[in-house]
Amino acid sequence: MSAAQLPGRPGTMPFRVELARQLSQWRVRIVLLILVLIPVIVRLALLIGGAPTSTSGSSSSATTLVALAQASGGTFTAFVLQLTQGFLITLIAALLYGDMIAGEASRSTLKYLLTIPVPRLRLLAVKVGVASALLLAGLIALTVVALVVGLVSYGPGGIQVPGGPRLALGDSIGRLGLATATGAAGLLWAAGLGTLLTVVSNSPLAAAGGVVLVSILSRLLDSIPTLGDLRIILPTHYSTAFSQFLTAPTDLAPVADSVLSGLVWAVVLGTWAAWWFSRKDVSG
Amino acid sequence: MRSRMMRRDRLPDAHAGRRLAHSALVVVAALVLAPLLSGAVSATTAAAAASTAAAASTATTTAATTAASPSVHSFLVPVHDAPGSSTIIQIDADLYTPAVTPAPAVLLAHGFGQTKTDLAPEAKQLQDAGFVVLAYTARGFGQSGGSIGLDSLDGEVPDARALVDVLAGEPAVEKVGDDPVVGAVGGSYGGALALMLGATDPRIDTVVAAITWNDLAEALVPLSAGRGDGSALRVFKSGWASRLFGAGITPTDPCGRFTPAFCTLYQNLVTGGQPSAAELALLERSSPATVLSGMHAPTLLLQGLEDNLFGLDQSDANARQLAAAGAPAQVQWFNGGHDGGGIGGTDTVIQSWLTDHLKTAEPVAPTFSYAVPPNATVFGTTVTASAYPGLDGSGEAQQVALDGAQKTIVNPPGGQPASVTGLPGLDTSSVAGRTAIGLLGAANSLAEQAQFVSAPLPDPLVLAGAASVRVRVASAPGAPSTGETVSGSGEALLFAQLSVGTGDAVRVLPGGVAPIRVALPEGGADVTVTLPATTWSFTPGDQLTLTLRSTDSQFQGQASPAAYVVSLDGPISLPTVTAAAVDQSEGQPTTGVLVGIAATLLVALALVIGALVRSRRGAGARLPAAESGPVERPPLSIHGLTKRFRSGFLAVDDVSFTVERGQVLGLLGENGAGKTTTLRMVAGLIRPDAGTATSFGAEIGPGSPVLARVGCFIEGPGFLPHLSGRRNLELYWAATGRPRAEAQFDEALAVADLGGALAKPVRGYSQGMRQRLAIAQAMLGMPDLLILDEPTNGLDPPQITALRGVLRRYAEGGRTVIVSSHLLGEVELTCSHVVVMSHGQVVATGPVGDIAGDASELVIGVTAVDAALAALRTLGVDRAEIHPPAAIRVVPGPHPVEEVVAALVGAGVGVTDLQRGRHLEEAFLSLIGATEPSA
Repeated sequence: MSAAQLPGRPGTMPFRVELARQLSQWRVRIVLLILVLIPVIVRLALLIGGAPTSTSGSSSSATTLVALAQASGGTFTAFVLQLTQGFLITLIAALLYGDMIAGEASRSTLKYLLTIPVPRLRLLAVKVGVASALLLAGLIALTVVALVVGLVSYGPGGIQVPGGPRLALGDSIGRLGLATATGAAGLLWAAGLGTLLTVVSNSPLAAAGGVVLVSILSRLLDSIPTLGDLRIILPTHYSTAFSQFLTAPTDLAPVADSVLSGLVWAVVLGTWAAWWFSRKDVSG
Repeated sequence: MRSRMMRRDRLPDAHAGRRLAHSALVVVAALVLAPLLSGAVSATTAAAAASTAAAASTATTTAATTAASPSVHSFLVPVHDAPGSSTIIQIDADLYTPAVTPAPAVLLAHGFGQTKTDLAPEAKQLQDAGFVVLAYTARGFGQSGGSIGLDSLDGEVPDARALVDVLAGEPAVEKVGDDPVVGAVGGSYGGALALMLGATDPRIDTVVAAITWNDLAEALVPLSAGRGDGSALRVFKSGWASRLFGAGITPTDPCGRFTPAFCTLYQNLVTGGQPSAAELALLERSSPATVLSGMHAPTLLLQGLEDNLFGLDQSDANARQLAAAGAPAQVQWFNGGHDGGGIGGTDTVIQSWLTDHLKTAEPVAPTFSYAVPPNATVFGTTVTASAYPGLDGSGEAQQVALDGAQKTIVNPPGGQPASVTGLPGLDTSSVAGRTAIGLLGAANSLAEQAQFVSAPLPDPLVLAGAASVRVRVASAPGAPSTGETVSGSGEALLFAQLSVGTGDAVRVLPGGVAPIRVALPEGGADVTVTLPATTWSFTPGDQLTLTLRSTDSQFQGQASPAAYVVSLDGPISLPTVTAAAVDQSEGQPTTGVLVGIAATLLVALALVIGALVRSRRGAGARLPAAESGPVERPPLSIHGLTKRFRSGFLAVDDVSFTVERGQVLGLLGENGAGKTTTLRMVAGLIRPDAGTATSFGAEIGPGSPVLARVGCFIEGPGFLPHLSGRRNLELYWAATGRPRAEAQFDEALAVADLGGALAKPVRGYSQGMRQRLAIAQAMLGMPDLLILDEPTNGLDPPQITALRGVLRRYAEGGRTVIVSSHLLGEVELTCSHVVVMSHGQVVATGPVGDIAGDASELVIGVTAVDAALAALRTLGVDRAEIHPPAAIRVVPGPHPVEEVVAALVGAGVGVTDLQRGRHLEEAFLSLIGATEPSA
């Protein structure tokens, strides 16, 4: 009977099962909830700060998105993206990816998953897939909620480029989508590093903390101009590439650089993680 | 090479000696370095040889090339202060020698206010590219002597010729006969020098002149950009002129290092005078226009779009004069200039020009390329045209109507406040520069400006050249009389500028403002205004604006108050150039990056496919073994399993045993004996250093498919604490991907015996509850082999008893159970077979009875051991021996227990204790060699 199952072994650890396991955790739900609530919090903060100051006259002289946040719905969304793309979503990526294997190990559930048996690389792949899906869903939700909040609060206008033209709403929505996608590509390194640390470490906190620490260190080194071109190897060097889509003209070069940098980091770190995990001795 | 430091006194015979020493040193250096650098040197030598061969059509001598490490050395070159003067001044120079010599030479001249050290980066680049570079400080600057003559034909230009003499005597410089191969390169102040040197010294083989002037008078005191009927008047470009003058003054002398003639000229202009004929003649001696008719060398003219000092009109004049002289010339307009970041970014253009026209003598293509700067929505492009068309374009000029209503503007008394349209040297191609000008210009008085705005442009349009428009200027009725001139009639001073509006954003077109100074007759004047030549890409919807101002901070204003009525006469004419090719690479990723992305994706894909193939092959290799033969292989068989932890601890050492179907195997051992490590290897959680474990004939590794037939409970339970026991088991089973019906939940849950707690979160469970849930999880699907590691931890005695029954029944169905424990009595009662481990090694295997002894064995506490043994031997038991300290161990054989006891009592031996059954504990302790506890 069970011997008959061996040849046509069904796929272990289906994606939806892992998704259900992750979504049952409150920390995952809270992380996603934070992303959804941030646009609302920003809107409330602007409400407390006061009404927009004469947007009509000063729009072309304002040089930053902050000054223009309340100019239109599209601009508000661009502003929210600018606020969150830096540190916050790196932190959230660190939490999601850092928890993948180390979280199972710390609950002693890893050994039972592996003896099901879920092949190690399959487990890692499904885990990465679920974490990526959750992160992407969070990022998309953030942008969509920000857009809805912005359109309701500040009217159906496109992005006001600081010191430049006001983009059309349809164009702006496309640009916001591309900016979100570029922001996600900018997290590839964090996904790779989180995957590596989560298989190396048995503590989810250490894995997530490691990613955050590297992010801070990378940003710190990136702000030292004397390092010059050496800085292109820093994983966060192109982390502002997404903002190209929020301005005009849009320079696609840093976007491509960002994608390349992220892919290289992700492939190197991800391969390392897979190699490490496939030969790791699972104890505890 | 050290001998070359003593360059200051140039004597012919010393020179010859030096050359000899130099050659000797080079030969020695080459002999030493050649083995080390053989690859690199042979490559560069080959390249040099190729270039020499290419130049062979003109070359008469082809000296053997030599290789040495690149070097720089400084020296002073003595020159005459003025032609015919006996006063000698020293010119401070640096000679950069490349690795391979002889090589063509480049004379590098610096910009105004700079010294040779500012040229070091460019010089090093050219040195690396294989050129001898002579960079020097012009007279009047830095460590060089003399006064600033603004590239005078009587000063700086002869100096440069003296430096070419130096190159002609330099052995490292490639020569054609006695003529050194020399290119003159410079930007701004150095650019004019390069042009004038090239035009007056036939030894110069090519010239690169960047952002420089043609006619210094036209650059500093330009003629009115608007021509009316009267004689042409000049406007002093006070902003840039004073900035340049400031670069030459010193703390001790208000005239600084300028020649007295220039100091007087400046003083006249800055106080509002028109230049005299003598002064214009002085400026002529500093203008390429004076000598360009003598130029024959191929010339590259690079001019910046953002240049209020030397606009595109200056390079246009140079280009026209070069064409008249028959010199092959190429014109390029780039996005830079004195108000746009200088000559930054032109180094690659210059280097490739020198490679083509100095290293080899490629014909000069007559093409023209111009940069179109980025506008509010589109990136900059570079357009190439087949020929240089001048400032009027080669395509059809576009006529754009501007709102032509007449407007009145005033010139305030003293010409102050002057409108700010720029600051000399501020980089207006940068966002910071544009922002600064925007802030400064925000306070410009609206009374001083009139704007004429077009309707939104319907079509895209690329302006390239000088736009022109007809402006009508008249005195405003009732206004104070306009600025008087000597002739008595009025005079108007206006400044015209183009800007473009894209939505809310307004950008000023590069190129600066056009000064207009015209005589103003009673009825007003019609003036054709030529705006500064520039390029711009207009997108549909843009609005073109012409602004006429009465003041501009960059020009000398007019002191007397005035009011003008200005209006336009007809549309503005925008020249265009027919493009042969457009480079739109700016704002686009480079091909290299795109290829890199594709390559990385391919690598990732290959890695994934590789991993999939490997896992398939691994699974396939193991499966046939599992299926082979009608006789099923044992549920578990391990051979020589060894594991040494990274700490060096040998946890499992060459362990082998086999578990047959239907057995309940007890794995015994003290703590740290290697039981759990062995089971972890069996479950594929850790990799053995040596040996194999096979289950049902299939080798076990991480994730082996055969593990699906094995249920595991190893070293404590593990659950998602926030989920209920039932949900945990459901998710666990879902993770196997097998049908729910196979799980046999009810049977497993019966083992767990959790009752109502099954619906509560696991985090509230006691240790025993978790333990039972974990055992139930291991039993899900009723695996053929069940491995339980210390299953009785945390269970109370009734539960242990219950578990005993469960395991027996489990094995009865033909399934197999492995239980590890350190509770010997438990194993004794539960198991059919035993494997005893100690210190990582198997010390005994076999049925429980074989290890623990006969089930009928008796241990009898007696008062007299010797007497007891004697009595029992008499009785004829199978075996009797001492069991220290005060007991005997008896295998009674055919005698029942009461007979044995009766025999003892009959022999007068007191019986203090009687135990019957197996004695695994003793066996175990003797096996592992530990001493029995004293208690």
